[in-house]
Amino acid sequence: MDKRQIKRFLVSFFPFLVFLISVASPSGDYVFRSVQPASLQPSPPPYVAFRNGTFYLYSSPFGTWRYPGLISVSVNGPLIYINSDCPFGLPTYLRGPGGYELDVFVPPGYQGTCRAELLYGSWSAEYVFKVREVDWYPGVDVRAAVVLNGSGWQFLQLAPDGALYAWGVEIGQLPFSGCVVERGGVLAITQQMPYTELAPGVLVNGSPMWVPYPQSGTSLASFLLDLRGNGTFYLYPAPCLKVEAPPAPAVDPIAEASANDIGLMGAPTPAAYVLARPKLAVAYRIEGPVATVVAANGSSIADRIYIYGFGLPVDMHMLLYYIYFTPTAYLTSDLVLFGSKPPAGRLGPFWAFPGNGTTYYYLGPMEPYLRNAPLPFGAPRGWAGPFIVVADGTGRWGGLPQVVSVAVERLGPWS
Amino acid sequence: MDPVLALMAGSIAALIPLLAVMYKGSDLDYARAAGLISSFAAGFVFGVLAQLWAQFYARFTYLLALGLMSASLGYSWWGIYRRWWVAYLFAAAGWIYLIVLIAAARALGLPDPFLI
Amino acid sequence: MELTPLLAGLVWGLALSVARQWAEQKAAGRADRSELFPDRDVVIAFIVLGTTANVYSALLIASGAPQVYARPSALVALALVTASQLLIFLMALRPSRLDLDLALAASAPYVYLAALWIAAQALGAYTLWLF
Repeated sequence: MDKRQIKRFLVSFFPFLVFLISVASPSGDYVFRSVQPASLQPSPPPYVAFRNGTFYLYSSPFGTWRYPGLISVSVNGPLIYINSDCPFGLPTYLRGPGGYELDVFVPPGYQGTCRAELLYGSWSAEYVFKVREVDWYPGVDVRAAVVLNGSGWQFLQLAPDGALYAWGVEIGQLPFSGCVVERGGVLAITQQMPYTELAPGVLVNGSPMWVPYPQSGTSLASFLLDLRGNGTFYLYPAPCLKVEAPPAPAVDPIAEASANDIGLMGAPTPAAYVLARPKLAVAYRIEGPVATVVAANGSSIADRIYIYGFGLPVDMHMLLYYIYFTPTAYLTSDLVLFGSKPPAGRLGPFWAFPGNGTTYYYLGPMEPYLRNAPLPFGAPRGWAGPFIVVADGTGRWGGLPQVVSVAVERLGPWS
Repeated sequence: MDPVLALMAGSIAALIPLLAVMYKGSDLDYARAAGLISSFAAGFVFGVLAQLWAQFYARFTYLLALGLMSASLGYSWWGIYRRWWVAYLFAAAGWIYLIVLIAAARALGLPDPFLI
Repeated sequence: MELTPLLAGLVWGLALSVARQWAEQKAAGRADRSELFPDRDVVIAFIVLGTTANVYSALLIASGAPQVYARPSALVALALVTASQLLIFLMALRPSRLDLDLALAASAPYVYLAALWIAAQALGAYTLWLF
């Protein structure tokens, strides 16, 4: 063949080389446009250290610690394989082109070192993960360490603005709110109790009347702590855990109210001086593992009562009630807010009413028991409350706990 | 549906017979020019229909439309080759078929023209 | 295979080859064009296929984001593709007897890319841009 034939053949063949490259390449057209199969960008959260390709992670005994978007992978080629011996739930391959955020899920209690390798052919990138277990709730980097002093079981509630309530009485302020409470290395069962205003816009003793009401917007995270002297608990700003626990036993507020003459008032009627007792009926129930609330209300000619019985799984329960006294001006000699007989003494701000096996402690804006007063006195008018009665069946309750100290602890990177 | 791809398909369908005619040195008269326009239109519509393959590949009317468009292109090229303008009337059959489908779909209020 | 750059190159190649026919007609007049321009069939095929290959590779390289432009080998490829397309323009608009040699010179980018590809396969690299 002479030169002309060779030139003709080559000239017709050479343009096909480009299409042959595109078709015959293992990665297809990506050979023309990618420089590397993938580019990686690690973005660790502030409590994770990252040096020399090594992540220093934490694991928690309480659950899986999730690190979302720990490594951002932008895949330029058709495929990236991930080869790892870590039990972190990493995918085995990533298809390109596209961007991915790799999430790492560290199982509870996992400690040690493991590797993950991203590769495609002769290109590879390796990351080492060193995990250490820490006594911390997963996913949050801050917690409040609260030291309380008290004795006996305490029913604590945390408002969304961080106010801490014990038995419905505000005892302190925490820097943030949350629903995960850890005491002694164990998580406490918390329950979100929905609250609403009993009479919107009405203030009694300077505060609105917050009462439990199902499906409300505001919730108080409620939990129980057993104190013997000083006790520390940790609050994590995390949402509540879903627990399967039996509901707390309910308490019958109607029986308690009638046994203790709640709302008994003497009212002079044209026919005679009558002792008016409100007739109560149950309105609704809220069931939960920490507290079961039975709400009842009713009225007599002299007043109207809204009473809420909090049944707790420990041998204690609580009553919360608000009373609306009729605006008619009454002169009366009998007004009982709690008690079938006079109180036996005081425990701090509480009036104590011992019963058989259970001692009742009353806290309210008025004297609880006034019967057969020597001179008639003017009955109150309008809203009154909140009246709180703590019923102690254990005999250990030493009154409201005191907040000794509140400290904020931050989780920093290790090493 | 990318109109640029359809435009390119139409251009390729018209440029190939043009190149063939000019290569052979034949003269380009009005019959052949009409054939070029008909090829471009057939190629354009074929490009539009081909991009809808994934949505309509199971419909008989769609497959028939694709076939008629290919036949329309073939008839146009035949008309250019033989300078026989009657071939373009056969090429129009594909067009008429599509127009009837679209009108029927509009009248019946259906979302797309491929009835069955 | 990306369809849009392929078809775009094909359309442009066909248009250039039609332009070549017109230029040949102007240069030859009544004379026989196959005598005046030997190998015009191969040259036509090269104009069509070469333009398609030039447009295809240029668009693919340009779509590789800014990282590709940091590689000198990619810039060399783009320069060769541009030069090749200019030669094809020359062949289309000024037909001459030297068109076969011009076409051989215009094949430089394809040979360059094929050489890069063979080297990449030998080295196990997954990109053509080795330097």
